[in-house]
Amino acid sequence: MFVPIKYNLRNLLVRRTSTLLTVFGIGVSVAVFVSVMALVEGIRETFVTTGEALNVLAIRNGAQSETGSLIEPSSALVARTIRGAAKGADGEPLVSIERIVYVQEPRLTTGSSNIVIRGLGETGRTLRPVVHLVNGRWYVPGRRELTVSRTIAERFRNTSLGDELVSGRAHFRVVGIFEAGRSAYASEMWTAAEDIGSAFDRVNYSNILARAADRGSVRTVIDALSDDPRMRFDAKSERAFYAEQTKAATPVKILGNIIAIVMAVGSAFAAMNTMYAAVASRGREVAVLRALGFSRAAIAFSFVTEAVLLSIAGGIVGGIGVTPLNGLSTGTTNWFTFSEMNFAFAVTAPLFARGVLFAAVMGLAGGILPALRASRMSPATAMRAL
Amino acid sequence: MRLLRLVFKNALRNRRRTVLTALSVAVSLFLLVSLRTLTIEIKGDSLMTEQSTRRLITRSGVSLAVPLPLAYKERLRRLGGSDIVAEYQWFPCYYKEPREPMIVIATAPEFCGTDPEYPTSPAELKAFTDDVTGALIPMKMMERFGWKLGDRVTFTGTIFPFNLDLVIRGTFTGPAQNAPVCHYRYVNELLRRTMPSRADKTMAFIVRTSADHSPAALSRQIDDAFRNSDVPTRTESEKDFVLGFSSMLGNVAMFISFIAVAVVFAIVLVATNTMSMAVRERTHEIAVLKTLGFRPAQVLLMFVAESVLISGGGAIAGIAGARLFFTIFDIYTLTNGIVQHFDIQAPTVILAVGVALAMSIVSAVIPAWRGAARPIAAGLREVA
Repeated sequence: MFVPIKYNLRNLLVRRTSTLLTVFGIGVSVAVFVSVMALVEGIRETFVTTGEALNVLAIRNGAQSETGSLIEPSSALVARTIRGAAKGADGEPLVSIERIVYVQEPRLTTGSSNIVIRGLGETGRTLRPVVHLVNGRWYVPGRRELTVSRTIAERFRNTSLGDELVSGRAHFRVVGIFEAGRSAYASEMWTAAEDIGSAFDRVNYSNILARAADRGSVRTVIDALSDDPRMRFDAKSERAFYAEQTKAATPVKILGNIIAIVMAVGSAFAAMNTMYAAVASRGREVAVLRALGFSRAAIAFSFVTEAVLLSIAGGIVGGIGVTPLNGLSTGTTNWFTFSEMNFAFAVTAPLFARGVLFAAVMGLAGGILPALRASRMSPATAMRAL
Repeated sequence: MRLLRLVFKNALRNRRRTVLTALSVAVSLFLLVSLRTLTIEIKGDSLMTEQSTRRLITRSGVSLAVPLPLAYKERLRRLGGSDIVAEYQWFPCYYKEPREPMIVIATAPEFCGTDPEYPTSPAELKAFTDDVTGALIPMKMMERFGWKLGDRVTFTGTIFPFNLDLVIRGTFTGPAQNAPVCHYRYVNELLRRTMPSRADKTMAFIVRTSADHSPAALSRQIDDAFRNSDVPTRTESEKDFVLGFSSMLGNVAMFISFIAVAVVFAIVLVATNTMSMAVRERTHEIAVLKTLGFRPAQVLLMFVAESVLISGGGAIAGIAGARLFFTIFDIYTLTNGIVQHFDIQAPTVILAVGVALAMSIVSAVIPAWRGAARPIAAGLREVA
């Protein structure tokens, strides 16, 4: 027979100060854990929501990112007539051969970062329907114009509508602002591939994006790009390519886990403290419960339950405490592309649940020893104690 | 003094609670000291030597993605004010493990071994200079991979379409221990063969200011000279170049600081809980002390002293623990060279001690004041 859970709840309410202090203490640990994981989740969401199912992206074999991929023009041009590619309304294959360069620009706050300028082929925009214009107009090829992501325009100097972006000898006029949802394109500025070539004296291309005619031809396009010995491409579905870029969040994840574990150890000690105090002050109650016929196991279980309840309350408080972070957007450098990536903290329901679970584990770790102590108390001695 | 003995005895009365509280505080202070050190280390200050301010990096004003023509080398030399001008090209690559990206620095051998604080042995330097496929390897990297002089190692290129096969000709010490050095000439030769469009260009030049010139003036002079060239330049000291990378991280340092604040807040809660338990248990004693003539302020002081003793003890254990931990475990080995230094500096320790002291006082004052201000009669009537 189990001790009714109401007994534990009421006890927690009676020792209000101690309960509250412990709940908040655990809450802080959970808040740190959830906020770091929300950052990692935000980065992950950015990458996993980027890409169209039928698109195939190719970079140079061995390159780790689009920015680090150099493709000689002779190879790039072969890709224009790739097998299995869809055709646009004008009958031209939907293949965009692109040049990417990054320019170092100052943030509006402090410091500077590398921002990607993507030079697209003629069909590049058709291939990325997630991106849509919200202000101004699209760049016109050959005129050194930029259409900039809104999140970049909001965070960097010289990137707002009407601004002139001067980088080296290159002068670009910002003629439009686009929205790209949460995709990775939200960290980019767009122009035509030829303008990158002339403005930065670049002959090499960076990547090739091709639309497969249908689901069945995705494999055909990938194989056609990868197997041609002239090209030495590494081709993947666009979604798979970006999903792999999630590795950019790995260092944050590792650091976050270390911090969370250390904080959890500290919180478990604190929870243990609270539970030992609870056990010590309830010797008589335990004795009465034992006299009523509750077994040692039931007593131990009851106190563990109480510790876990206490921690879960902390987990909920901590989780709720960081929900305002949800959607907060910020940026940092992605060391794989060596350029700025924007992302928004994502406090999701599964993350919240993980936070509560994390708290419950702390409670369990902190509650077991005090609970065992309670179960071992001799009823006779406990009864006599003042 | 006698009071101090009482404080000691009180602190040790509930040993388990004292130990648990101290441990909780210790773990938190360990974290606090580590986080603070991390925010300092990501700035890159500890990678600097006296040379870092004298050595200038000249690169394209656009970004590192745009290389400079080799012809600039002669123009930089002719400008004067410097004693060494060398190509400086990163070769992004990995050694066996694609998940651990690294960089090999390709430069001119006359630039190597010029740091008077960390000289390379003349014999090794000569062996390196004479072998165009030679490499100088950081000592810590030699240890990490178990390499020996004369070993042949292959770095797999991730941006350029070739791998670098290098022979280890020498080693070097110094604060920067994560990038091997090879001949620019060799890399350029491979570029000519595999990617002619990128050959005869370099990511940057490294320019050492001569002793009688000011590095800042020389930087300006260089950028002015190239203002109207095909590729205008941006020149800064090696130190600013490195600091620039930490600014690229953006708000990361601020985010870590927020976590540190949260940690401090958590310790205050834990310590307050402990002290309020102690005060509650001793309601009777407080009344007795006051009957004997102790003033509320003295009672308060006793509790504050007890808190400082418990939490302060924990804090010192945590801070000392952090120092010990990062002395025993080399951060370079722990992080595979991503974090190269983890030096817990005196200001960090002082800050941590200050935080510990402040939070142990804060956490004792409220519960202790509530206990000390309670009327004697009420305290004696209280049933624990």
